[in-house]
Amino acid sequence: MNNARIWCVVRPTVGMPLFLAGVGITSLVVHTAVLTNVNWFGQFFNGETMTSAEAILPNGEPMKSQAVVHFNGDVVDGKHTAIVELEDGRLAKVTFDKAAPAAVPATEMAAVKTD
Amino acid sequence: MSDDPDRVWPTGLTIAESEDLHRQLIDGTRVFGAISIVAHILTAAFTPWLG
Repeated sequence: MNNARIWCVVRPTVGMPLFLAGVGITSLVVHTAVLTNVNWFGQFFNGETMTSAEAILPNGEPMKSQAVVHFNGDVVDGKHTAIVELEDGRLAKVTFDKAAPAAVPATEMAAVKTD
Repeated sequence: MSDDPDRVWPTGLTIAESEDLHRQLIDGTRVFGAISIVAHILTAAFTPWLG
């Protein structure tokens, strides 16, 4: 067996912990480096849907950036409003163009497409 | 123990003992590697990792 005689020279009580520690530390460093540089790991821990940096739009094109829409069902002048948050933190308040149906709860309205 | 002619110093293990130890180490590495391959395949399939 190749290299088996190393244990005639290196004490197993020294070599084994060194080997296992080397594997563990290397694994920890690599995984930390990867997971601190991806955007979806925090989403996973927050219970959100994981999205890659380049999400795919319905028309097949890659999404260049992402925005989060905060929709609570707020109604101003009979129309629903929402807050759009860009990746850089800028906010925009949007008003949907059609009057809000009175009977539709906010959770259902969030899934309604607006043209 | 020290008068056993099969023992190799400085560790005092015989060649057979060192080969047995090394076989256990390699088997453990193979099991670890197999589990990690499965884990990485699952990660690639169910997360955005690697796109």
